[in-house]
Amino acid sequence: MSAPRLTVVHCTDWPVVAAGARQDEPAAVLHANRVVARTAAAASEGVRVGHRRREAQRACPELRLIDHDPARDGREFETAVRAVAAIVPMLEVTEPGELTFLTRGPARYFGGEEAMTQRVAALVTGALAHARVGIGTAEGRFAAGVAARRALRRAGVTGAGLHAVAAGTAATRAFLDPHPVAVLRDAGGCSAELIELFERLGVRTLGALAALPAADVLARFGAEGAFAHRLARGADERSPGTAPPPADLVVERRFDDPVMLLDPLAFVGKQLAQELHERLAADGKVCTRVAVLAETDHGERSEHLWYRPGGMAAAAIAERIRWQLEGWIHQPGGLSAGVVLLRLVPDEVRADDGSQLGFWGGRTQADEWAVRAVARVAALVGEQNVLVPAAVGGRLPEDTYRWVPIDRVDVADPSERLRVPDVPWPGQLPAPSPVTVHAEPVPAEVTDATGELVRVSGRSALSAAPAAIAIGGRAPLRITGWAGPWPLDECWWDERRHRRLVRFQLTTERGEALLVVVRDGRWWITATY
Amino acid sequence: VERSTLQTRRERLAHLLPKVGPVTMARDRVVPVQPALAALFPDGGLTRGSVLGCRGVAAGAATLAALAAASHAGSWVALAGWTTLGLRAAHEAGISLERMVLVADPGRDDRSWTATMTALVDGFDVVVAAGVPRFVRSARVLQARVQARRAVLVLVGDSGPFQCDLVLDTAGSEWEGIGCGDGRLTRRRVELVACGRRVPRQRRSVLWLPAAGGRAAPAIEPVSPVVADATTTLRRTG
Repeated sequence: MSAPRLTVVHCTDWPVVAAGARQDEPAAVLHANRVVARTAAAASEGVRVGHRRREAQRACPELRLIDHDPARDGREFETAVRAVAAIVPMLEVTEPGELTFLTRGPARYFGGEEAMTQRVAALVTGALAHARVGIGTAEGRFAAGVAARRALRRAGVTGAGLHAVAAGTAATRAFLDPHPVAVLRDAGGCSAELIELFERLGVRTLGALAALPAADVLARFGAEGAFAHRLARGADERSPGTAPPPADLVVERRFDDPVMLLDPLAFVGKQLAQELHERLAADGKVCTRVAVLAETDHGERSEHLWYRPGGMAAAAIAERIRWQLEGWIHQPGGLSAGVVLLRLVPDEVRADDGSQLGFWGGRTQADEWAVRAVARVAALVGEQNVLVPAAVGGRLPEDTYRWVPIDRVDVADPSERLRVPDVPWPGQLPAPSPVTVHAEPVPAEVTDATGELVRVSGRSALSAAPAAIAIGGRAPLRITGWAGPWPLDECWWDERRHRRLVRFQLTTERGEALLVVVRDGRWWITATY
Repeated sequence: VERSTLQTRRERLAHLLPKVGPVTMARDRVVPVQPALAALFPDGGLTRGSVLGCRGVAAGAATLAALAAASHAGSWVALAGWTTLGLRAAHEAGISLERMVLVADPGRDDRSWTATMTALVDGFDVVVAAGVPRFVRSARVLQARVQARRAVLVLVGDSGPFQCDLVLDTAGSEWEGIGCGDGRLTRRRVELVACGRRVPRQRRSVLWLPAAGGRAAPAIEPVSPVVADATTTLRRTG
């Protein structure tokens, strides 16, 4: 069976383009202290995806660092999606920065694949001035994705490159075989651990992997290995459980009063996503591809397909609806009328084997309820007011984890926001950590036995042993024990983030223990143990 | 005749009661706590539908220690207004951060505060409020809701108009490992006292809270002065 011929448009390092960085300016987008995307200028300085912040800054000291924001990526990509949607009726956004559509229809209309892809290239580069785009055409999603990445070689610093793979399974295999297994991670969504394992075992190219017997690959590497093997052989990447959804399954909401604002629409989108997810879940199914359609009173339409090979939970669908609507509503010129219809049509479903949710030891009913309760509470008090912990990393107690609003993260999938990068923070105080971290440091005065203010020199030497502490102007308390000084001098290369302070632990006569810092000659209580 | 019909009706009712009444298993009634703290709780854990108050110097640490086992076992913990919680300490105490949510500002008047808290109690197993604001007056509604929903409400610090079923108070607290210009804070010996409406006798426990590493651990009792006196009298008579 030969897979359908698809065209993939791939914008390399999309997050950094979405953030508005030009390719000739060294900039990188960081998530959890790791580089996820960088500009061409940064790449030529040696900044790699996966680098830690410090490694990246070592390679390129003038690097501009940008925080990762998936919502921004989705919103900005809408420009490109709209441009291509002008000539392609139904396209699918695989992720912000990559879109896929069936080659056959538009190719026939525009007189051949070559002419059609060139037209698409002109549209995309016109819409995205600073992007570097690869457009690949091949049989099957994976081969087309690899071809798109291959096409990047023909693109300049900005602009588009094209690569088409000839039709037929043999030609597809011949194209895929010499590629390194790392493309399985970039274009196929396989995990980095699996790729590393392949490489360590000497399976370095897709050809070598495809030559292995399928049953042995399944026995040795499990379901994910079998999936990678299927991709490498150029077979259809859809898992055997994939099926068209029941025909009558459509969830939609019509508005009697046209809605102009994004927030209420996104809220309804969440409800629809929940409804769709529940109806599919009742059959033990999960949606892998969903069509999102919105229509205004004047007949303006926005319809995209969204695809995620592992399946989308309600939160993931809701997120995609929001991306689509945000870009559409805030397009230049705006909409001429309010939205009257929002509709979700599942396009492809598969048996829910829980593969997407297995990150944290399975999901329980309590989690399902809690995620719903979070949404309810957020509706009551506002999304900005409901927060979940996210790992940041740093040397002070308030730096290790931060609270982030739930509209910026996926509550149901904490694996990413709580992933602690396996990096040491030398200079961090060891456990136990303070239970109370003050939002604003409390000013204090630490005095020695004679009542003089204790001073700390530039070389962290104390003028005298601390004997008493007066907190916020109240009567001084006797200090029963103290430890320190532990100096901290961070980010001395960056004027804005430079931090120089000395830390102490103190215990007072009341039995409490304090974390105290001296900064610019003044004492502050930053945390209580 | 009248008496016998009453008797039969009673019998019939007694027969029906186990069929229509809600059946609760012991393990459903209690949210587990870690073994180090179990002795403080009359039911061996946090009773569902009850209100727990934590007070004193170690109130925050005691709250984290009491919730660690529940959080680890899969319960979600919702915090209301506890914005100053050190997340690293929570992580070290054994709380699963992936099942934790904070409402930074639960409300600025009695009505909105109660509405937010009610929504939290409806959706989460364990709800923690850091201090009950001054304006809160109607605690009964929320307390009834906690009971109906079989949730656990923990009040850290001031419990305002709430009637706590159990109160964990800090009787003594002493840090170890810190000297005068040397060492660092390593662990704290805390004496926790449990008392409340449903505790006939005060229960006391001496704990490392936190022990080295951040979790809670039982501290071995120091030789108490009473025992020391007994040995001296024995010597005299012998």
